[in-house]
Amino acid sequence: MGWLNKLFHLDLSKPAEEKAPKPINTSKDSACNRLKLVLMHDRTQLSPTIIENMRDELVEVISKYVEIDKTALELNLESESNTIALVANIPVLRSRTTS
Amino acid sequence: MAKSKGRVIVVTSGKGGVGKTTTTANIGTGLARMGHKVTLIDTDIGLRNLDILMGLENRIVYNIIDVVEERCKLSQALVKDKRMPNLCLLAAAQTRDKSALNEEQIKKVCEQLQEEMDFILIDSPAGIEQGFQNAIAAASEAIVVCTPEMSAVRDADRIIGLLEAREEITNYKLVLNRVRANMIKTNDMMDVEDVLEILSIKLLGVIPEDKDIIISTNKGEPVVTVENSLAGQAYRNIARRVSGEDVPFLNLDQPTSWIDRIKGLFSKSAMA
Repeated sequence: MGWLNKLFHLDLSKPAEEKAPKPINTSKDSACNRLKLVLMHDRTQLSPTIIENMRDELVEVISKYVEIDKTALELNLESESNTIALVANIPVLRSRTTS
Repeated sequence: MAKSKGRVIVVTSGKGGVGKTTTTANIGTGLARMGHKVTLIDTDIGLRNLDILMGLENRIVYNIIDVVEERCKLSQALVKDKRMPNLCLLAAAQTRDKSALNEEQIKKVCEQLQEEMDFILIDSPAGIEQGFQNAIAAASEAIVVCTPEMSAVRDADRIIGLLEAREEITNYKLVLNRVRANMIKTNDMMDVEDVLEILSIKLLGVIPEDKDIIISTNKGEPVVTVENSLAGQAYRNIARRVSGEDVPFLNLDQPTSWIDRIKGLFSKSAMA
């Protein structure tokens, strides 16, 4: 899933030493992965900037109701066979209503 | 018995330089070698090249624009191939641009040709603008040409989207061109399965990178006519598949020594 993280530069937040050892990445693998990502954006006509904006707005809305880990929130395009889905992973810290 | 209408097939790619014209010339020549009546149409107005690949550049008198602007009859503009009387070329105009042709005009030309021909192969220009729209206007089938490079695959994906949106196109398949078995082996080139999966398209055939293609282009003789060429064999197989035969895919990774041959027996190899 390294290529999904790359979209939001999530790797950059960690120092290099902490990263898990990478499997040997051939130039063919990077071509396939880069292509899959670029084609998902082409097909949905959603640029990385639009997704970034969506992510920011989502954070705003959800934060009204629950306290979330904003830095760990992930919003990605994922494709399976012929369908493309927007997949969000939102770690909840605690509910605002219980406090 | 009345002849059934000829099939109109567009050869397209989106990206330029991936081998559309080479593929058109070779599949067309391959079908003609099998005895079919074939016409090749170059719709790359202003940048014609199919005449060169067929070795017919000195025989063009009239072109498709002369036909649609009624300066000549369709039959006068059809240039007969040097080797086969059942193969001919309708050339593009070299001194005009894409706006000189519209979709209705090309449909009319193809309808006329369908009465006589078994196959009409349309060589599309690069891009997705008017020239491409003209090229696909009359077609009911498409051959998408692509190479195992990111930019070519991305453009092919765009083209496939446009073909899918067009009801008239009932069948489209991929020709993967310039495949290098040795680079696939070292994981430095996307293999056939990778490209098919990414584009979710069916395979028509794979053409190896082959110096014979350059040599045969230099001579104006499509490589499909060169008996001992691997690319030629790949194109002969594709022509047979287009005409409806079930032909197994070639092994592109040709073993050179007897040791390689034995190794080959135990390994899954690249296919054409």
